[in-house]
Amino acid sequence: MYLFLLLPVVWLLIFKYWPMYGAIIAFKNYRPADGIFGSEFVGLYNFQKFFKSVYFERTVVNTLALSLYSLVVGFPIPIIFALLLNSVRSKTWRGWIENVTYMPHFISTVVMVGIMMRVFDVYTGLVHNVLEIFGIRWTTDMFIGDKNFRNLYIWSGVWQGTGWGSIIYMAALSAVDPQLHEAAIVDGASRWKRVWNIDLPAIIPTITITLILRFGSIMSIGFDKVFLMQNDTNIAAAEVISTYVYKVGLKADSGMQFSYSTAINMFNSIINLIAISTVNAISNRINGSGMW
Amino acid sequence: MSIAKVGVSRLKRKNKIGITTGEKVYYFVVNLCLAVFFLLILGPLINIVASSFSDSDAVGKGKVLLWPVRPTLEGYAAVFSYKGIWRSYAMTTFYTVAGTLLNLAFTLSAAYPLARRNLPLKKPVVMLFMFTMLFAGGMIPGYILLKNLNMLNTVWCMILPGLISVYNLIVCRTFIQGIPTDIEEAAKIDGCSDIRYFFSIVLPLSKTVIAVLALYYAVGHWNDYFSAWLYLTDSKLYPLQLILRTILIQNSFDPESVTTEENILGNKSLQDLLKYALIIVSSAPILIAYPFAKKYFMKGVMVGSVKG
Amino acid sequence: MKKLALLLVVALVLPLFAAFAEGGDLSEPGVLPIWTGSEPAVIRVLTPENAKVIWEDNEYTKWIEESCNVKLEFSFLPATDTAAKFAAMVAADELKDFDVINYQLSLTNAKMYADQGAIRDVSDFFAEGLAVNCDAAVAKHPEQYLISSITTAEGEIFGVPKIQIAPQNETKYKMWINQGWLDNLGLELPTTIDEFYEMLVAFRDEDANGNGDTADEIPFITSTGFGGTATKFLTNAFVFEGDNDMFLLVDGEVSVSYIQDGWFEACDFLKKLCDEGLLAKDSFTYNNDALKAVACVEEDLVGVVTNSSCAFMGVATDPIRLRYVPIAPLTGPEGVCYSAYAASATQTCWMVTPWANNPELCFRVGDFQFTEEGYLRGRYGIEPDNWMYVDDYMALYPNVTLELLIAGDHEKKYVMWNDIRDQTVNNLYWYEHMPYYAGDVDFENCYVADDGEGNVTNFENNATVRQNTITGYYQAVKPGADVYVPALAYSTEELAVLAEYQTTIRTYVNEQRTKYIIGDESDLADRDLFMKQLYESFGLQEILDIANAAYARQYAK
Repeated sequence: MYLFLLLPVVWLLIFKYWPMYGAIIAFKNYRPADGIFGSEFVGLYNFQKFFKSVYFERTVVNTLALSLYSLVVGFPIPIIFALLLNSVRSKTWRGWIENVTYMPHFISTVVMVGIMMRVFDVYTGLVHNVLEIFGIRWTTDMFIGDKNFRNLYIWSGVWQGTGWGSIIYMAALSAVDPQLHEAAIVDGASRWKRVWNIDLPAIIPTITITLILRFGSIMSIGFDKVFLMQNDTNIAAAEVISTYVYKVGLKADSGMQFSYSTAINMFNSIINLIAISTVNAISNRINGSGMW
Repeated sequence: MSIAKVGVSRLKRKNKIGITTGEKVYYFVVNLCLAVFFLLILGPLINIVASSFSDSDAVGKGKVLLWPVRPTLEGYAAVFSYKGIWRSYAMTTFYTVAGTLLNLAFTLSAAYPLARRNLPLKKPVVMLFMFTMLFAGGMIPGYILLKNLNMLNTVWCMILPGLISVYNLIVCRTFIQGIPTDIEEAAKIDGCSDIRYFFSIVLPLSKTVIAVLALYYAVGHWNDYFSAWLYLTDSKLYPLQLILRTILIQNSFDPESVTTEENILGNKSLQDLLKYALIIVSSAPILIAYPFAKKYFMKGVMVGSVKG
Repeated sequence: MKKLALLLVVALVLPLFAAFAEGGDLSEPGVLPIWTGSEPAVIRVLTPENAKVIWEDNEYTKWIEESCNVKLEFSFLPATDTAAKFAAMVAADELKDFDVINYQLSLTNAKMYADQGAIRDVSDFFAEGLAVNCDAAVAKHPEQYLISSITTAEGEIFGVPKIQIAPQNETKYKMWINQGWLDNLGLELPTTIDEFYEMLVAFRDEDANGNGDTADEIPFITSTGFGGTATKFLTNAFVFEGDNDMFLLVDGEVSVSYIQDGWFEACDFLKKLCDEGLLAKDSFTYNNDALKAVACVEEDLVGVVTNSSCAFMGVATDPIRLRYVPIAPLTGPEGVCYSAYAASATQTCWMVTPWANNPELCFRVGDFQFTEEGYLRGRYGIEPDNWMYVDDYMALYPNVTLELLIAGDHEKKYVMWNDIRDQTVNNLYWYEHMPYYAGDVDFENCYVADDGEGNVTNFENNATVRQNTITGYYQAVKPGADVYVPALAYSTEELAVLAEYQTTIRTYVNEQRTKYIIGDESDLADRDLFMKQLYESFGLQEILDIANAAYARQYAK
């Protein structure tokens, strides 16, 4: 039995654990010429710098706000979608929906943001044109301001990710024994009842796991899309930790503060660890279905 | 098996005949919701396809809706005129196929023992994996590691660093845990070894999850741009995604390096078009491959579940 | 097995050969070939990938190799996020395998990488007189600070430069007004801020596009594209505001625009435009694509845009594009009138690594390219396939006259084919990834759009001509030496301090200003609070102290 684990664990130790020594540059003032071990040790300086920075509060709050919003909206929708889709009877129709809805996943972020700009343009956008037919004047520029930024970011994510995100639940649903449904029909259960009493319980383990994992990345908002959507009017809501790290860490103009960005990443990891452990513990307490 | 089939078909008939008003409303609402969502997604997708076949000026002015305006293949011609694009297709296919197979082998062989309820030391091993999801050494130590392993500028640096995705591992483990324990007990009584049990029972019963993992891994490899970006300085090994980005960059507007305005324009107009053609070029193969792969696996699932 | 053994032997022997080649000698400065060994010396070059250039079998590569008796071996930086990859390689101390980095860097960045130990200081080669072509160019164009602009405070030089003097990019923030609207309303082009304001009011209230609807006009909308940004052009009618750092001289001291009275007045003016519906808020979120979709429709909706040129709108003869005519910088209420000027930057390009086998040879191969011939070959290709001398061209096509060929005010010397550089994959030149000295070439070349038979199209309203004219307006009011702060070279310690503040303060200022203008909550509403933030949270005093020290060092008389 341990034989199965041998290779994966060896791989894990080499490719994941071995490079972890690099994290110590968070406590150093890293200069490539001196090497990771030779660089000057500065203790918690980089962490303190982040905590004292004017951007600390802003980036942490924004990251959490965006994460939680996306959790509340973006997490249940693929589940609901999968449940609905699973109860569609026409196979062809179902196949079409499946194949089309997962396609947006392949659109690159650059193009995605470009499409968003075009669709929501106040003067020529699709939304404007459609509403004009009904005599409504569309005047909200979705790219101006903090609130619009958050809504646009999350709901465009729903557009792009629902189909793809539902794949895992569809797979879980396909493992549901048809006999269960058959029996329920004999008992006179309506379709809705069967969704509630058969389908949903069948995917609860998958939901639990994905939810727990989701909390493990609560501080990790993807960089690309936020960065492309940023402008002076929404930056107060759109500066998240990942964009900030990019700006201070790898941009030569800000002096490539490798140690600083590593320290911020480490701070993220710690928060993620706390979040995932908490949720896992809660899950264990409720129904014993935690991950460890 | 034939009994099961009969059962299913009877079930279908029953559904059609015995449908209540409440169910009709339910199906109507479900189909309506899905149809709206379907159209919301299909519209922009068609727009992308139409844009990729349209005149660049019309694309730039936002004239293209659902049908190409002044149709042309200019964008595609431009993409395929670049050096190395066919080679990069081949490289990407190789990374995807070889990478996915190795991914699956490693993930499954790790997930299986970790799915067992009674394995001693299971918890620490799970923790060992989980921990790497949260903490990583970062880009530079990873780079130095591959350098020390002499893997920079080889195909290995595209495959090995991401061999197991812990997320996928956990998902896979959850599925395997769902296999009823009585099957295992029965197999044990028959004197079935762990390895045989794995190959003859666990694998066939996990086809669905294997299909999903294969999709996740394959798409991951197909879209992987970062490893190539970081680990390769040999352009012969470049995958498709990196080449495509290179093309896009070369056609984007870099005013600092352009002296006359007309050059800017030449670049600019092509870029509008390229953006869309590139999406099609880069995602079409995997989009086309997916439904077939799915069909194959779903067939397996049906057989598996009936057997079970 | 045999094959494997053979491979092994080859792999073992090849490096020997390379080492063997080191046995040769270098020529005297200025004498070709630079390497006199019997075998060409290998130079390993790290260069950004370009999808349009075939590097190995390339005419320009061959020209270098044959002239200098070297062999160039290329490795590539990806074309996307090149800077980040380079930074990662430096951070992983990974440049040991290369002799030369052919990648352009600003002096500040080059200095930073050199401090990290990744780039060799080549000022000793300059001192020894090995930089033959660089020295010649400096002698020919003393006014351009060719080398002094890539020399640090400590006297270091990090490579052979790449120089692009582009006047139209020095004053990129330009304004374009819809001539048709002016004609419809019987208005003249504005020259002052007040006239400009009245014109916008007329655009808003009247039926400027003549379609019978007085409400569909958007008086002023622009983008954040190159040379866009509503703020820069207008602010310069109140106080000088340059690019990026927004430095300016006040009574001989380096200061920043955003603490001057005029700057706050400009903000108020822009806010007024926004409040009264004269300036569209979308100007602060649009990119050129979005602007094009609004401004370039048949409906003729837009009165004023700002942009470096109107090339984003369409081809040079596009009637929609030709609606817009350029105006000169406006004069403010106090008589202030500047263009948002930033001098063309010289960049370090051909850099020798500290691990180079033969640093002197590597450096001299870079210097070798630093001629007008090198520029013509490396950027435009080979003569006469990709370009020709004007005389040859006209001899070949007698129907072409000098008037048909378009150039600036300079004498016309070269004819370039308009399309070759952009669309096709080639093995003729390096595009522009090389150290170069354009000299006068860019002013003396004519672009033609011909059909290959010498039938040249003459653009009456040629974009290049328009661009040259408007650039003239803007260059005429560029800030003088009493206002403009030229590029500053910082020391390592100074850079470390600036790294903390420079980006964040820029972000802060732009953010607060934009929010103020569009009517959002902003620190700018309370000027004292804004100033307090600048000094206490964003280190303005430190930035100014450093800038003043650097300025005094470099430019004090």
